[in-house]
Amino acid sequence: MSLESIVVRRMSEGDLEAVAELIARLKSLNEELDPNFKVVEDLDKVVREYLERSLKNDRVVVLVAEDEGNRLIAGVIRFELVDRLFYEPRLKAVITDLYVRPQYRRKRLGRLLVEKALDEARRMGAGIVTVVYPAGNRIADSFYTKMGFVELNKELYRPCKE
Amino acid sequence: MYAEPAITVRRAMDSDVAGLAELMYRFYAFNEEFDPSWATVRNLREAVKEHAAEALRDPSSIVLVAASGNSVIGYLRAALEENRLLASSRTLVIKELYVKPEHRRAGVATLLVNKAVDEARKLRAGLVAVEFPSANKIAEDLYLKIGFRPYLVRYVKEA
Repeated sequence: MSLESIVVRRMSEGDLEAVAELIARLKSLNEELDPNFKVVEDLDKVVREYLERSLKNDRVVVLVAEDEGNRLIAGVIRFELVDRLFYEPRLKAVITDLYVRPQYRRKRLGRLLVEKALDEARRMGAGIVTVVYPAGNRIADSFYTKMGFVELNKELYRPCKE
Repeated sequence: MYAEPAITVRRAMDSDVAGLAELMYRFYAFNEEFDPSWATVRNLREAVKEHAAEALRDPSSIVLVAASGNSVIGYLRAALEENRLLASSRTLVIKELYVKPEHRRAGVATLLVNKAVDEARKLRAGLVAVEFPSANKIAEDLYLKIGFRPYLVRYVKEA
């Protein structure tokens, strides 16, 4: 399976079902990597609503990679524009979701989605792009490191109850 | 206030088949995230039901479950392999091991593996082995911690 028939474009309403499946798989993977990311009971409903809101939000971009030959959504990336307020550059693009179907991995599709997202983010005025993912995700570690990403913030946690 | 039911580890029974199929689905869905060669069939949900039933029927397959009250929260499937040319001719190979995320970090996997080692002894297998995707650091850390060491390497390339 080559990348020849893959097209990257903005997500549309018609893609909702297919993209929701991919995002749900991403959240389930996070749960497998760390029980602190245990998914909610109505995950599918929550994901669908999240994507519907994303489509209506001017500061959010969702791109899909479609395998036109098989008419299948092979991957998705979502980012939001955030104003950092106190720091320059003010506008950052935060990658909130990136997922490629397992049988389409190792074909640089993830890289292609990130590059297209960066192009779009740049056009929208973002000066910096960041990504946040669970600390135990070594797949993401090596992927983003290879693309030149470097640590920026630290997020620590502990349970609230004693 | 109620106490959580204790976890028991036992051989799987026919009545466990539905719970087992669910866990097998999650095992295969998780593994495919590590390498495209582990990509599953499109009708995985259906296929695991048959896989679970077959594993229970197969005399050379050992299926153990970890149960909490009435629900199955973890499982292990192992198969006996034989090589007459080796002094230690029988190996029990753990093919699948999965514990639900909310029950992790509680020693359940260790209980399952220990029971598998007992079964290996009963079958006069001198070695217990386990296979998992190379990129699965969680599995690697777990098995090293309970005394496994690297043994065989399988490299792959698309044909």
